[in-house]
Amino acid sequence: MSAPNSPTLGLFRSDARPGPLTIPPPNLEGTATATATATAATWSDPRQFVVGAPPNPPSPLALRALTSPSNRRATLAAPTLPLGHADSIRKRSSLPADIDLSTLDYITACDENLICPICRCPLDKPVRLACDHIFCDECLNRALEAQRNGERNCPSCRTRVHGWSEDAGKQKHKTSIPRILTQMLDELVVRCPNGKAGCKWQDKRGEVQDHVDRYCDYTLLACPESECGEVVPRKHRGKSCLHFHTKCEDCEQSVLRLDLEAHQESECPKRAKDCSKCGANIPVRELISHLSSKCPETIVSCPGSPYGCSFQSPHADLKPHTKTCPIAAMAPFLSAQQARQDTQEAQQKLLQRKVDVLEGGFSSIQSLLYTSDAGTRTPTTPLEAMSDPMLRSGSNNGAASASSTAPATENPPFDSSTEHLLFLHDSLRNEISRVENALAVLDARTTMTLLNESLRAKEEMAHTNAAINGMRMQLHWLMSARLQAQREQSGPRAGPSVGGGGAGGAAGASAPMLRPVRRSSEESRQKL
Amino acid sequence: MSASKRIVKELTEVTSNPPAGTKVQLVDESDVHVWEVLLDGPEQSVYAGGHFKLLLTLPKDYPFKPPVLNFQTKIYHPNVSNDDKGSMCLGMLRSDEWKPPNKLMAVINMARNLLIEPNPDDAVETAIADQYKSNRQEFEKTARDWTKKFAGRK
Repeated sequence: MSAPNSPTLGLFRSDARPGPLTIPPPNLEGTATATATATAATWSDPRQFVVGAPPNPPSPLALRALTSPSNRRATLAAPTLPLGHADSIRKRSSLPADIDLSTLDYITACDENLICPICRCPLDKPVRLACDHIFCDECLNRALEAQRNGERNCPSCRTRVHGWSEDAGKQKHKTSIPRILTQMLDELVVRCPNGKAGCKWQDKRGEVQDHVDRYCDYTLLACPESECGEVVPRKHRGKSCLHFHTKCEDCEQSVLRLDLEAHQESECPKRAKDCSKCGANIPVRELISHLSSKCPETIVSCPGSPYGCSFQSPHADLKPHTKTCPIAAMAPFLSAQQARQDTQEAQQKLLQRKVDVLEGGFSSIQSLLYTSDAGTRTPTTPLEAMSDPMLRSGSNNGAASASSTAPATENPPFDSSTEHLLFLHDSLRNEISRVENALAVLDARTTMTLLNESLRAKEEMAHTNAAINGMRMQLHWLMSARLQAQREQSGPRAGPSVGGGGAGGAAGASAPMLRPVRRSSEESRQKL
Repeated sequence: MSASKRIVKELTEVTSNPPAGTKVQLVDESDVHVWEVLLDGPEQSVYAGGHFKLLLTLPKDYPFKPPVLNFQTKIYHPNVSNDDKGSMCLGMLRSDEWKPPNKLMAVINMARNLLIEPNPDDAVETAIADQYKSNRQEFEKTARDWTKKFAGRK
């Protein structure tokens, strides 16, 4: 356990203390009663009661005399603490009632057959079913609980499991476990669960509960001072309560008495210690770095070791070697290269990711265009339908445009909608020019018919003109003949009257004028 | 605690000794429940040359509930749903067929084997399954096209 560097932290010690095990809040009634009832049964064993002073651990020999390690675990779960204080300690100290074997660090490689198929850890409290499949007790219970509609089947082979119940006391599905299996499991070598706190112990798994409960110096127990309420590792438990502040004799810092040794061992800035190798007096704070790199006696390897030099020697002898070793001379360059290569690789990775993103975006745009292409195919039909009537009207007016009304050829699939739009534009332009042609033809046609019609009318008019002229000439001839006859009748009698003579003169004057008219009409008739 | 320990164990097993043509990594280093599986189309299948990205999601109560497998890359396959989920749900992945002792390595291998040999009798996409059974040539052509189109590049 590491002690805080600043003395102010000590005030909040109970909350701020770093440690591998958590301390539940004291007002957690639920857990308190739960653990109390769990341990109540074992308390009836009078051997466990030690009233008053902290208990001395029983001698190892006495413990060995008990039966198998697994059987022992059950009785050892009982508290080794004074009665009445035990439950409050249980909730404060995190002495594990039962170590979770699956969280242990296994040193021996475990045979595949000893591994639970559910949690993939070495079996913990193995249970054998009637079908001969073996699981951890907890894994099997959880697997059976998770099964639906009341059917309980073996998780491995689905054989019906009889006699299982959620209440552990009523379970009847277990069959006997071969002794050899439990022995093999108990003989697996594990590390102490307090390894992080500093315990170096490692031994058979069957012993671990025993070790933690009775021997491990790092197991947290209740402070011997019953009013204190703090926890303390077992190694300090023989002393009286250590939860008070004291001053380090070297640096004058205020340190919790409990942490004083750790402070003096590695943190105190004033304290110095002789190096175990070179004998130099080194401040404790720097001792670790001194041992690893500076101490002349420490065996170090050549700076070129990552690049192939296998030379190793004490720190002091390294210098002459580095002067001659070509790899050591190259080492700074090589490491610089290595660093550059690393940064470039990282950059390349970044770029690769960027390219990936861009490619993804590009392909999504492409797919978007594909789908929109399929979408715009339908709206194009109204456009074509709109141009259709125009074509049809053109075909009604002339046979020439009939060929152009052939329906537009089926559009081939397009790569992009822009291309599609361009094609649409082109086809529309074609339609328009076709319509233009049709209109021109229509125009020519109408002018021709108009001309024909007017020519015919002109001819008819000329005919009627000629007829009228003929009639006029006949009328003149008749009139002049009659005037002459009248003049011959009145001439001998009384001379021509003024009115009659005037009329006769006019008629006589008009008679010679008639001739050229007749002649002209005759000429025009000859022309025609 | 023990569940995530199992997951970590399985992950190291799969990453240190991956099945042929697969690569497994975590999507988010802090969450061991979501795996990304990169699967190369097996050479002897119609998906050869494709690189498929799968998402393997482990439920909270794994291994008591089955993992969920989703194809993130579009694939023309009777057992993979043709939507944005791309879910594959058959055989051991069904909740009533799942057994806690099943390993994720086996799940990945099953997905790979399904690419080699689809299972049209247990299909999600019945249209593709019918085509697979009645018009194998057309199925293979479309599957190759889709592989080229969607799974061509990494």
